[in-house]
Amino acid sequence: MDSRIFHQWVQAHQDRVWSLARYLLKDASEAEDAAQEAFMKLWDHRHKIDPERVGPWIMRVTRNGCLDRLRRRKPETELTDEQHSEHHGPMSDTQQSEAKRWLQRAIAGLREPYRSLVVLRDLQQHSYQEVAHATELSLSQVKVYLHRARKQLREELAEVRP
Amino acid sequence: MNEHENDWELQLNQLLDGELEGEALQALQRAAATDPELERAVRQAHELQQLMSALPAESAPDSLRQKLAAIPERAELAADVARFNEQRPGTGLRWRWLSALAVVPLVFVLLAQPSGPAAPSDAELAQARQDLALALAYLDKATRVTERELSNTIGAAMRDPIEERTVRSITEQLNWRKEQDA
Repeated sequence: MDSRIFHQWVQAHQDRVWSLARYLLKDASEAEDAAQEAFMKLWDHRHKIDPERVGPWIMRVTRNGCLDRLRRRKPETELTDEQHSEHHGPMSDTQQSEAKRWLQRAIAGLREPYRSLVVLRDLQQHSYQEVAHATELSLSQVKVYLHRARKQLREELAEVRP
Repeated sequence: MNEHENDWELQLNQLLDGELEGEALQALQRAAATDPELERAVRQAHELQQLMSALPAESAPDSLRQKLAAIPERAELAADVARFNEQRPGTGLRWRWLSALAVVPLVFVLLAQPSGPAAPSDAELAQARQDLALALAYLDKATRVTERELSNTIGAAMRDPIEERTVRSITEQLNWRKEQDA
């Protein structure tokens, strides 16, 4: 495989990888490092990966890398939702409506694996199979957890919009 | 919500997945028309779905894009450097490690050395004692010779009239002793 195909993979997945890392880590700089690490692993394993499954593979590696970083992070360094929304990038655009910002904060406030499931399935529109592969959960687990995550978001939405 | 709560929850989930349509969707809407709690749940599910679909997709920042684009080039450069080092054992990583390991004992020896002058060995001390004894013996002999010379000179002077050379001889001897004492 030459670097041209790798560049195609980068083009196809870099935004999703970045977005997932941002939601999980709530820190732009660390998300950038996590995304870079994931793609470096993709380069190292490029000859072993089924080209048809690069998407779920890179999302799984990204998520695992982010979870490792979260585990290494000291409890007091856990970033707040406010910090998440203050970082630069399209998500912090002041033109966004209050409802969208609320949704971003609500998703960022979900615990794992709910947060990953909502980001992968509802925001990034991966199939259930791809989500299951990326999160290393069974298909039924994905459905049950995603159901709970959505219900939690609906309940939170009911509090701000009765 | 009524006894069909679990069924409704499943259908709300399908609704959020965009998979609820046709008769199933109409059934849910009919039920919601008579159940205010279900009606609110359906409305909030719709609202949540709309919010999610309206959320703008995030684009990776330019700094990240540049780093990702440079990965193949950097990886190949690193591989070239590794191959180059493999072909030159003297500069290879393996040899650097061996050199580093060889330096470790040397560093320990240097660190173990005291910072001041080295302490003399027993053999050196014995040799110094012998040299000192020999020097003292020579000094003692020289003192005895000098005393004898002085005694002879003064004795001769007592017999002979005191001359200038006699005074000078005594003065020289006295000065010599002073120098020795000093």
